[in-house]
Amino acid sequence: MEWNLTVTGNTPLNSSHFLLEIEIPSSFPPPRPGQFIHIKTGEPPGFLLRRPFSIFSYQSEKRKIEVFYRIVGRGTKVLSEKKKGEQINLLGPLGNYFSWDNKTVPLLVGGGRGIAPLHFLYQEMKSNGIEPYVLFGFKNEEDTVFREKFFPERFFLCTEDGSAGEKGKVTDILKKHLPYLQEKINKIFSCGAKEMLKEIYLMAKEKKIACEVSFEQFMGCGIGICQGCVVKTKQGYRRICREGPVFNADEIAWE
Amino acid sequence: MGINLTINFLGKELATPVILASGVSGYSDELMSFLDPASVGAVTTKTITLQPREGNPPPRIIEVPGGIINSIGLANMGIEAFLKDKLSSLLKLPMKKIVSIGGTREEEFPLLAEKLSNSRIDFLELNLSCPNIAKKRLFAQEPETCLRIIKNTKKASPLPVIAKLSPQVTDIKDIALACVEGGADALNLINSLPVLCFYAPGEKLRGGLSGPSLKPLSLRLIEETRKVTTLPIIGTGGVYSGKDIIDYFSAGANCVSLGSVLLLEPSAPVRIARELKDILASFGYDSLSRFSSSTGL
Repeated sequence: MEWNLTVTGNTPLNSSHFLLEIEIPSSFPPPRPGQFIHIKTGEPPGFLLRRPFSIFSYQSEKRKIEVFYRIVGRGTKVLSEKKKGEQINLLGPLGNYFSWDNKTVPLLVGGGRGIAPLHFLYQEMKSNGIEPYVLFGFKNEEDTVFREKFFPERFFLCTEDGSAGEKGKVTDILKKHLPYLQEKINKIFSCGAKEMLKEIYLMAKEKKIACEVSFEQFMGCGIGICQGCVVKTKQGYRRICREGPVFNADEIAWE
Repeated sequence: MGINLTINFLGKELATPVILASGVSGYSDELMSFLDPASVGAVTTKTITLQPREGNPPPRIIEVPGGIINSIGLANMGIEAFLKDKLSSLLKLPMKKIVSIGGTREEEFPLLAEKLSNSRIDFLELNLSCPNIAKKRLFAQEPETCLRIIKNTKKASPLPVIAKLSPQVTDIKDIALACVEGGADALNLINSLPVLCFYAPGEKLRGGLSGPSLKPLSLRLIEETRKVTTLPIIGTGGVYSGKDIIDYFSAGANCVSLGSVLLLEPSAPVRIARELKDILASFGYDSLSRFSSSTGL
């Protein structure tokens, strides 16, 4: 599960977002949407913990995975300086994944970099003949990368400042559209900050729509040992890196 | 060059001086897919308590310059589930086994020790120094309490006892001497240092600091402790390389335990054992025990 792999691309998408492309060997277990990789961004004593990243896309024929990230701290800053051809050490693929079948009519709801695992999920669903509804929210137009990748008739875009798509937070826009979308969809998939996930869950619950959420959290080992990343469920704390990052939203003890 | 890293620890042979510390090795079988068991002398379980513990609310772990702050809060399944579900796989591991025990009341230590008496583990480690449980003072801050806990634990179980001590004390020698008087078989210095950080404006985490910044503090406390006791000492705090082991031995430790490094590099014991061999070879030693004798231990 520990790999030294080659960076085949690290493209800036705007001033703070990047797309990292990593070559994977044939022995790399095929990742599933929702899973993550745990990257060693630097060496001690400067860097003491790995950084977890959702897998943004997986292309088995090209033997590569992609990671969509935003520079938020020292680790991602260093990561943004990785050049094509350099090696990168990572653990993965780790964690569980979203669950769906051919009867699922999905709505994917994400905010900011929380769109990463949902993009992978979108790709997988599309290749299995499912056309998901998508609602993505960003701060402003500059952040609305990848908007062209989604099927326009089922794609809802919003920005907090209204510079692209509808104006408002993703939860505001979901509230607006859910009354008619609820007739079409039967499951919501989401990823992002806990407060946002809670609002989305409460709306889904009210409409009796199933909901799966993927959590972000500070992480230690990433392999279930240190118990550093947990979320409170109705059965007690569960490890985001091991039992998650994807949870049935009904199981979470929302506070 | 075939450098022999075996050491004698409390009458048992450890394949290397590298011990996996409590809290970063889970219940001990989880890490094994990442490393060569031959690179490890002993493994220490998470601290086990009488009752299961949920642990502290998140966030529980933050990186700060030079260290990691954790506040796991002794999350564990409790002794009964451990004996039923985890002990058998632990016993199958080739290295020596240390079970860490702890609690919020001193009476819990002998009760736990008694339950582990016939478990075929090699050593008990008493976590007298966890900074992350709700308690006014750490056991390891009170010499009389340390003495009493160790004495009662020794009465309850024939297993050799390692006392894990806190760096947050007025004089480590007083604590070490109390442990000696209580009948401790070995000491582990040090547990993480109680600290506070703000990971976002106004958002604080109280926890224990571990990692590279702890090493100089640990070395100093081991050197101090070595002045008053000949008990074997496990050196803990910021061991990331073979050179770190040499430093710990030079300060008076008899072996080391790896903690934070395993979070970054689960396969670290293999690299560190290799580095240690290289250093010993460069010094002209064919075994760690020869080097260790040269430090006067």
